[in-house]
Amino acid sequence: MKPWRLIPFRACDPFEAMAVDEALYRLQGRRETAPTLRFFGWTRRTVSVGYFQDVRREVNLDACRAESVAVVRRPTGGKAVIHDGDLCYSVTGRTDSPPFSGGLTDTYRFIGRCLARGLEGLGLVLSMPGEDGAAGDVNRDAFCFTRPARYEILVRGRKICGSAQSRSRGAFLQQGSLLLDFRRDLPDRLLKRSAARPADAPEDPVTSLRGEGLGAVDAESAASSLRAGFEEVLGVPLVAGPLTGEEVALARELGEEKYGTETWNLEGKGGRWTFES
Amino acid sequence: MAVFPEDLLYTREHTWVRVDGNQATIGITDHAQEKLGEILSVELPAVDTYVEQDESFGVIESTKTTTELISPVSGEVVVVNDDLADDVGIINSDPYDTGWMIIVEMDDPSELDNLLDAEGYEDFVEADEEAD
Repeated sequence: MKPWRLIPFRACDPFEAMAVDEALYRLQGRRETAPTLRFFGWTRRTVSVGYFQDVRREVNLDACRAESVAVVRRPTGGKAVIHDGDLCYSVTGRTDSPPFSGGLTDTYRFIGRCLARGLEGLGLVLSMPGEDGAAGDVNRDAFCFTRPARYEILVRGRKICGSAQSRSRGAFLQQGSLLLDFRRDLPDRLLKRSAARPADAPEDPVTSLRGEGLGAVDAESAASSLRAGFEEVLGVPLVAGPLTGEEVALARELGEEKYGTETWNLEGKGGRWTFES
Repeated sequence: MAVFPEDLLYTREHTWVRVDGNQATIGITDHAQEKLGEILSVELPAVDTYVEQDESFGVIESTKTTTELISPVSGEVVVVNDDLADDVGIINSDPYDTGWMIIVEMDDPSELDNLLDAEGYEDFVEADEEAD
């Protein structure tokens, strides 16, 4: 297996964070490049929503404005995530090359195992719905962390890491959020209706590294442990490297024309991005 | 077990086309809906939108995944399946009939030569599965 590229942890502006991930994804789709693992954080508190979510129905925009919380729409599906003391990762790769040629479920499973190995390195005892035959839930709630899906990682039955994927033309992007800390008041304030805690959601469904007694682990340390998990499962070292000039240019363009706009973030329009091959 | 109707043409991106004169009805294949699992949402172009062969014409969301829909042909969208707005689940239950997505007035019917017939698509899917 060829070496993977690692884009080391950096705190990003919310719109840049998504633009870089989409640039990595789109350029994976056009040519053979190494699969890439990227770690990033957020320079300010942000609500990210899934590709299809109705922001006005599910996010309390007045509260977000009042508290200067950014709202950004992800290129991936899934539900709302509040980025406040979390570590985000993304993996981009080709769906026609190992270890990702086994399809959607196998890709979730493989990345889930890498993440799990990394978290076990911090001393956590984990479970993963799907790995033990359990199906996991289809999450119809607005908040990502109310229910575990297949191959998401649980500690004592509580979700600590949520993930979502997008796929196109032989490439995929998986994005995920590992909770270093979790403030239970934020979903109630920043999301609408009972999105934060639907009546039938599991009791106390979320945990974090701090909640598991690992409050001293910061984002860079957690990223380092996850990196080790990927390297162990893959059996190859990750080679740290910068974004290419092409990736930087495309990310800048996506940041200006898509992720920095209300048309995309609030209306979900203008997201289609095609390229001359 | 996925179904591969013989009266359709297929892309390697798992969309199908049914040709009637110059009009092409487009949807996703039974194999694709099986792989995607429960479909939750679909975004399709409006009538009069121009779509291009091998380019994205929409996005479909299944459990935790969004996937771009790739057009088999080029032309103008003349009809969009409004029934999907009421029940997107028909893409899962009936992908080749009531679960169709758009009808396109084709620009260049010779583009159909680039597509696979049922046997070719079934072979492609089997090869893909074996590679897994």
